[in-house]
Amino acid sequence: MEHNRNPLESLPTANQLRHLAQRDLLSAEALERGLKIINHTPDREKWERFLSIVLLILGAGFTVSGIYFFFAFNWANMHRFFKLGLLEIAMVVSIGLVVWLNLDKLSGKIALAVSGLLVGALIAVFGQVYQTGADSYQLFLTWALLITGWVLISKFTPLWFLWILLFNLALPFYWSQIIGEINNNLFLSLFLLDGGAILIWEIAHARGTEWLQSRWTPRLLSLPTFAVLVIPTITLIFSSARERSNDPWLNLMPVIYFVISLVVLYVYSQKILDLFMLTICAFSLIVTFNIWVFDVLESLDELLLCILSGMFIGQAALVVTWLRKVSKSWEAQNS
Amino acid sequence: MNKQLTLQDTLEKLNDEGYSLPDDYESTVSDMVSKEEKSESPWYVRFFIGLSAWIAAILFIAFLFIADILQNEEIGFIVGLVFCAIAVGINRLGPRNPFLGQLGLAISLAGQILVLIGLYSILDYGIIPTALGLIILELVLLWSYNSGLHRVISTLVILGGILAIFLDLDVLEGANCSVPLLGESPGSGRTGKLASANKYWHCCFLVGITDIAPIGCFRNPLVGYIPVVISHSDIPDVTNRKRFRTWSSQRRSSLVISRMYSFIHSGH
Repeated sequence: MEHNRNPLESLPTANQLRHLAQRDLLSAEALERGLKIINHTPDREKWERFLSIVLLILGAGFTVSGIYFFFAFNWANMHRFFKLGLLEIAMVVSIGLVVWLNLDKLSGKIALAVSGLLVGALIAVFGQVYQTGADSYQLFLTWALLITGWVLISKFTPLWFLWILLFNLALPFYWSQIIGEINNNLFLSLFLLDGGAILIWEIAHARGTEWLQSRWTPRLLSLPTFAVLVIPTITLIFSSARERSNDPWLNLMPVIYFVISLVVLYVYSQKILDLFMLTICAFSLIVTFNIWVFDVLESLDELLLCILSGMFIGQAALVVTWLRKVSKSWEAQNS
Repeated sequence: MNKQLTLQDTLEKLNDEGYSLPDDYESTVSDMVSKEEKSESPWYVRFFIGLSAWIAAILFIAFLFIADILQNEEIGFIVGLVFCAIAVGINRLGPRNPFLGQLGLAISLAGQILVLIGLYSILDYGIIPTALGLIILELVLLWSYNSGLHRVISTLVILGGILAIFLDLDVLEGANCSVPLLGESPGSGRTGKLASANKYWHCCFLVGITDIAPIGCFRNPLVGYIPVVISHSDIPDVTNRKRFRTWSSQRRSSLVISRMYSFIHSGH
């Protein structure tokens, strides 16, 4: 495998130019010009576009939070029809904006996201006005189900995130309020939800879906996915033999965790290069392994802390070395 | 579709436009970029390294205390200084080796925590002398420890020390002084080492943190935030010292103006 490609043939980065400037190969003026040539320094048009998007998002965010706080602050002074009517008018206006602006534009998508957020406010107000006695999970679940259609047509990642987040909130509330305890079935359900979302995203991305380009979507989803696999695994490590025999899922979750870890390590190092996924997976494995060592070697008392400290350094160094190797190997393949 | 520019194309274009480059720039640049690329990792990998080093350092310090190896804080202070010296030695030995990098960072952090605890005890639990002592240690480490991540940690500790002094003196408004101080730091001293390529983002990060303190000083947080937004809108490249200084001065002026506004409106 060829690893020694000429760096001069690579695509220029701002960091490379800064390094050259620090070594006095480029003057300050040359650096400034160089950054413009490689399109790093934004021009007037890019600044305007950036500010326009930021102000649009801030405006939409502040409007929705303003509506939420308006109801919280003036709750006692408003008649119930006024509360419901106001929210419905706001929803009609935002949907009208969606129709007017068109969903192909960012402004239209943001207007639809605002509508999605207002649905939550409407359900919450409805629940409070008529004292429906609904559980919290019903609020989030109904909210998620009601906006499903909008999510599907929106082609807008933040709205998809909101949708998945609502299910992520509904599930723990369901387990705590209806089932009465947080058990491994909850972790399994959350894993299927978030892991499934990553899988669907990757398949759609591989098929060239235009609006699924940023890798931060699966990356963010990987955090709760690994968390809900690591928590039951650590629970198993500290559990007694009786607890293990009483709960068959307790033994299954670590198996799922290790299988998924192997899949993630293979896929994101061999098929799709994503160092973030590999880092998160490796860190979760290091934490789990060291907790297991802590449990097994507990009799060593304070010496164990010294051993764990050294192990942490060694494992992290191994991971970083491996990550660099994977990255170099991909660079070589693509050059 | 246009062909994408390579690094060589960019440098040739600069040369054509009259920005003079050395005659042998091709071989120099090629060698330099290869070396730099080897040492670069994405931020989340560096975060992972830092987090692991912190966990290792805390575990090691817990071991030293629980095993009663450090019988008192004074011994802890001396051991801490020795650790910092060992960390610098390790850093000099293999600055690009991931294992030595991890080891050095963990030992340095353990040393700094021990020095802090020892100083606090030796100096009769005085916050100002302890903070000053810690700042001196961090300045030495900033100068001697060649690592971007370590320098960010050192600068944050220095910033924490400065804020602790202002808090103890009950003049939190003095926190504004730390803004120009940090703003000027990349443009002064050993520029070659301090102003690394990542310094730009480190600086933005640090300036962002220092904003928290000035905002807290304003009677009206919104008024305090406006100059921050304005000054953040065009943070220049720190390798361009002249521009950075200009920006830093503008930033200070905007903070002063908003402070005056806030002062007048608070009725004093």
